[in-house]
Amino acid sequence: MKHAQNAIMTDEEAARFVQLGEAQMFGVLVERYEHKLLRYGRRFLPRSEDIEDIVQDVFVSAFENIQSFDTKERFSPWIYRIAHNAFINKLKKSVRDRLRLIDLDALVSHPAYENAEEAERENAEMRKMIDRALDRLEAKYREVVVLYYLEDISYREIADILGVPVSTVGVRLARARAALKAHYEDVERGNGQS
Amino acid sequence: MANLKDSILQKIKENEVRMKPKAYFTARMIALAAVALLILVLTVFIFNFIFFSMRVSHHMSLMRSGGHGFLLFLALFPWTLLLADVALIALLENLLRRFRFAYRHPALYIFLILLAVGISAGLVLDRHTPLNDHFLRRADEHGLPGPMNQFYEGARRLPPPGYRVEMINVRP
Repeated sequence: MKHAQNAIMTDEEAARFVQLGEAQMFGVLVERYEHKLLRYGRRFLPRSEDIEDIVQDVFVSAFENIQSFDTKERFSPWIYRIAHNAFINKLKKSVRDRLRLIDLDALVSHPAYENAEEAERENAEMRKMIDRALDRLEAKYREVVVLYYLEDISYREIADILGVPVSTVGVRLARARAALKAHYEDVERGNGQS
Repeated sequence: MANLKDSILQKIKENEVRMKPKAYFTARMIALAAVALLILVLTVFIFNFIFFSMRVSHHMSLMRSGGHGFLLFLALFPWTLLLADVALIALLENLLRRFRFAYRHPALYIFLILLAVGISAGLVLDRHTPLNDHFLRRADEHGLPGPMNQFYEGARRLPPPGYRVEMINVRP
């Protein structure tokens, strides 16, 4: 009975209970986001072996800071943002994949729009390309690809997770798509010749 | 990992992991807003002082004295203060990035808006309030606290050694 009640409870309601002192309810949120965050981490940090430890730290940090969560907002972007920061910190330690201090994409405005029809058409093709070439993308492009195509998160929510304008999400996705297509075509050409 | 949920709940139960109280986040937000406001006030004050320094030293008139006057204007301009002010605005912009209203807009736009606000408020403060003239009078009487005294005494910037300005009135 209790399990059924938990199943129909929204993330925000569960978070509210945790804020009010029912720490056990945090288990509901861990259950719901554990696999999502592990998947996000594995795709965002493909070379890292300690993603499970990082995800555990993400949940610990989420619990410590849950009083800062506004239950009128959606819980998902909030916890993804904590995860994003944890993964970025991990990336900063890697010399090869260092993120730039000044991000030119977030400096000025770019036109960005979500086209459902176009997205539907592109999704299957993109997933195929992502499987092959995701780890070849720069970290800032890889994260938007993972969040948009693999985690099905909207532009606006990605903007909240990354703390950048919505237009920046659009421009990064466009560049990531172009890079993936270029790489995919190179590979296809190589296979055709051999 | 055996069971992430049980492991975390166990840590919570044993008080290994503790929830920070709401007051902590409220206090942090108030502190952040106070620091941001302080930086904004300092930024406006420095812009105001730059305008005042130019006004009290009659530097703007150099702009009407041809190429040599323009070079002298550049030489006398308080570049260090301007650079310090731009650095403060960059710091302020960085602090405001934590708020949704700021990160949802391109960083350059927020920076330019803050710059425009700082310059306009500084100009209004200098030209439409007696603040600087009052401070200068107090500084002349050594009535301002230590660093402020030196700051206002240095508002009248003289040409560096070797520079000579000749003002020629040409009548038609």
